[in-house]
Amino acid sequence: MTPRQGAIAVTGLGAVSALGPDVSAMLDGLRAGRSGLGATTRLELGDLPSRPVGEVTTLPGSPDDGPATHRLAIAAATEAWRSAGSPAPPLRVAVIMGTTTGGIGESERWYLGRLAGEAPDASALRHHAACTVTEASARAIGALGPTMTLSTACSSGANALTVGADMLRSGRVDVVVAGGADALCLTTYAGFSSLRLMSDAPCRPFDRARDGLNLGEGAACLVLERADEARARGATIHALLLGSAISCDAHHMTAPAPDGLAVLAALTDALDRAALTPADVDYINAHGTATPANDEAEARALRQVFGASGPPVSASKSFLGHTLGAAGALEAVVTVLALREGFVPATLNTESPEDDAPADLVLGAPRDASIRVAVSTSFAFGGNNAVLVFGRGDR
Amino acid sequence: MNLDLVLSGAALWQPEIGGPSEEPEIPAGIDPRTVRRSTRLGRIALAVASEALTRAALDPAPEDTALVVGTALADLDETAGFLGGIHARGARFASPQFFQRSVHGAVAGELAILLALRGYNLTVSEGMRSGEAALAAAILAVQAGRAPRALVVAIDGRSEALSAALNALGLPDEAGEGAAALVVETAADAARRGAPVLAALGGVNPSMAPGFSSGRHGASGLCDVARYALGESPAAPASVALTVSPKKS
Repeated sequence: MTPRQGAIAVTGLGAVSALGPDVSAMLDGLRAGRSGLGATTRLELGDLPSRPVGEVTTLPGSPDDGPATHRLAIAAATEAWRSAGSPAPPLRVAVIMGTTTGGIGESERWYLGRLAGEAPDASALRHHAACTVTEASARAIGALGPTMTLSTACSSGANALTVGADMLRSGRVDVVVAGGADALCLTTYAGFSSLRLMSDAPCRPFDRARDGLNLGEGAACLVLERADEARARGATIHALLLGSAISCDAHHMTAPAPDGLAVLAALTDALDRAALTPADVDYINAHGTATPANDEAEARALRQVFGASGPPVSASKSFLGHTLGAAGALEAVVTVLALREGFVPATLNTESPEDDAPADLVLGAPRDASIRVAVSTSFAFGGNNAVLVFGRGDR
Repeated sequence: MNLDLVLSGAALWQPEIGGPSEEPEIPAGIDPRTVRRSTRLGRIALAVASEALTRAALDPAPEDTALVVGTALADLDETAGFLGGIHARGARFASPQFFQRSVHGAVAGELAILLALRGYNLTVSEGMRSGEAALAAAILAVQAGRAPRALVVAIDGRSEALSAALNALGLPDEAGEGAAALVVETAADAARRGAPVLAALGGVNPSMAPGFSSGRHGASGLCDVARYALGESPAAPASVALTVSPKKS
């Protein structure tokens, strides 16, 4: 089947996460069922208890490249761009990044130092604005086309792919490097703690005993091109982005709408744009934060669309933690790897799934499978929902 | 698909730079109780959004109206409040209210709830070009068929934290703020609804917008667009291809 709008090829991948510094390390970790969650070695927690996080143990680049979020973004963008073979002249390349923190990790130190009566170094404030993450990424790969920075909390990275695909279809540019980046910082750690959404243990998506999420950090970028042009230049096509959608609960700032109708609408719209039906989907990479409310709402929406049985489902946050603005992009890379390599990644830590959890929740170890179509979901503060539909590159 | 797009609604709030800053009134039809927990920026955004929608004869807006918000800095008062609480009481007692209001998408989330908009929803943060970038994202969304129309809001406010940061960096603090809202739809839809057409929208190139602060941060460009569309300014900003409709009175 042909997507209603032109298919978009994924011709480059970059990822730095708690599983390691690149896509290869991520694939190894997923294949081995090895979690990246552990105690933080870098974060200043104040009086908060240490909880498992998905930390990038060795930050890429150097402090001269900017704050942690920028360094993560630069690493992912550079890996993706190189793996795609630098496919277009700089003016025809757009960079679209999602982030929630930008440079707040540095700004918070400056602001707290100022409140404490110190005279902290203000130079890092130049990296505060979210858009500086995108600008740093664009500079690193030499892109001179449009830049756009999206900040829709935990769906930011997924939304960057949707906007990137639309920009390609508009003809405005020939290549889009799209993704997301976020680093751990006190603001998000204390913020999610204040909302009582963090678990003291490694997270258990869709488990009866789930009690919250683990924060993480990382970045991922995907190089997108119009599929016919990517084929014409002989590019390696890791997967096709067949459809995508964005919707909003319009219900609550931090809690998902119990009826799941907006999630349902996004799933239906994304599949419709891909000219696919739920029966065509072979794998779902769920948002699966392991908070009681999120997993319940997501499970309900998946059941409504895919039926009581449904395709295999896994939740990558049990490997990576919840990387906020990077999550949608990192999980898009996981989904593309599943399609390309022919396996369903596992969900770790979950031992006793809820009665209404996805029926085929893949637990403990990955499963070899031929996947033709896969869906990745992302949900966010503000009721923002994002759905991506990928197909195998050789479709 | 390349659709002919128009602006059918526009509104702005731009207090004098450096002068007093009076909040706009809560629009008629909005129960004040529903915004009692809103932030100042949230109330201002609601006021300009409602005015633009009313001008576009979209009151209430259908729920499939896209909402795209542009902001350079989000709500720094909320971020400062959150960090101030950590300083005063410790991170263990950080405020969840300040935290959830400090995220860039807070205004878009709040507007979506208050206006019951359940479609495409995006927040764009592109520094001083945030408004223009939000308009570009909205045009993409409508052209791609993701929504039949879009409400675009640009907003940035003053804050003590911003002033302190600018001072620390040795940059001028113009102490300006502003907000603007536009309604983008196809010319055919506007004609079918009998809606007013303020201007034909040829496109936007955010890279042509000034990258430095003109006092209202990320809202500057869209304030200029709204002023032109409303006949309050003789020229559109260079970054936006806009032709005021001869039908506009």
